[in-house]
Amino acid sequence: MDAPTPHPTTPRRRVVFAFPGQGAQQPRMAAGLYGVSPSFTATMDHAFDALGPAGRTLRAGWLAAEAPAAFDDISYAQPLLYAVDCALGTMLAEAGLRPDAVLGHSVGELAAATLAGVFTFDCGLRYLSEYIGVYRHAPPGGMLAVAAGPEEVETHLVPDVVIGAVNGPRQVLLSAPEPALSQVETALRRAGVTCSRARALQPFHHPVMRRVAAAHADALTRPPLRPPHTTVLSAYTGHTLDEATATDWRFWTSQPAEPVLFGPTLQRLLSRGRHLLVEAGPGQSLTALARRTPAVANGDAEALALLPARAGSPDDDVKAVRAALEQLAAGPGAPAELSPDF
Amino acid sequence: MLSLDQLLEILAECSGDQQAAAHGEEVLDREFDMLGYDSLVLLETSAQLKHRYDIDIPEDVIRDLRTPRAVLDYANVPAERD
Repeated sequence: MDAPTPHPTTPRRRVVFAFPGQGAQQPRMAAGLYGVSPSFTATMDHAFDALGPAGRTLRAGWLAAEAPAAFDDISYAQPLLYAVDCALGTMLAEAGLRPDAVLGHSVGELAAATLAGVFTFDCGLRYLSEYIGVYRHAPPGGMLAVAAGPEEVETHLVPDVVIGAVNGPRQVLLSAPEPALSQVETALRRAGVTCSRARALQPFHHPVMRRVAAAHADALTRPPLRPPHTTVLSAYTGHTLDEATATDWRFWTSQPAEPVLFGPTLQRLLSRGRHLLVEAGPGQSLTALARRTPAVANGDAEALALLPARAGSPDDDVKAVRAALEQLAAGPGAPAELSPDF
Repeated sequence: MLSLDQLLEILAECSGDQQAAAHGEEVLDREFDMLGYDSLVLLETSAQLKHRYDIDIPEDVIRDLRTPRAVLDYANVPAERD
């Protein structure tokens, strides 16, 4: 990455799109844009068509007034998050905002890489369909958000429990199959450590996923991947993806078994020069993490979410996107033309 | 009485803020989302309020309090009535 080059007259900030992953899903997430933003709608419809009969189920579950019971399961949450993330990224590009860099949390990194041209959208969707087929064989379990740093959490770990994600100095996600997950939750609560179940029904980012993949993933012919045309920050490596890594399928297929180091990656990125982080996904979880970094606290970086923090009425989605774009357009170094496609 | 400074100190500690960005009266009505404090931070804040000041804001209540003012109101009003 380039060294920061302070420019006193035009403080152009690097625009970073950030895409959330498993746990960020909400019933009817971003659905207020469906049928309103042509680019968002076209991207979502493309996904539902490409996924065939599963796509129709997915669409119905997404738009249902009451979310299906399995909404947090891999089969719903992951393809919907991927599609919504990609559709929002595409909508931003249509509005005239191009990212200088992209990053994502968990499946959000797949969306980031898609926006950066590593995967075509179709290729990403095919991979996710296959991925759901493989990881639905994962043992039941999940993830537990803990209000503590990695070192403090280490002392509470029991066998079969790993740190699945480091989100910030005082937020980690533990990952484990049952019954270990419930055991560690009980132990943490007894020790007075605050924790909360993340919305996941499988132990993502846990080494057990390596065995699941070995047992259930066929040796498929995979289409070649392309080098990213936009900088991709990987929360797995903590650094900018180089061409060789980005185009290596093994890097992508190993992700469900590897920890997500989103917090340290974000902090490293924001510590280098001026940045504007735009969260393109449901909720504001990544924006919240960014707002707690020193870079945002001292004004070198700014973080902004496209959608409301909590699911609301369809109108809330539309209003939130309009407000976010207005704020983006008013910022320093904004593109001359920046308007939503609706 | 829980003061704004006491609350902000707890929030900053619970979130791992390295530099307390949020301070002063102007944050009273800013939503926690805008301040970067998510639900996990609020749960931890609930635990710390109980631990340090014996102030009881149940987890399912604090999740729905959107601003520092709402927390202060909840924490302080019942005490004044006693």
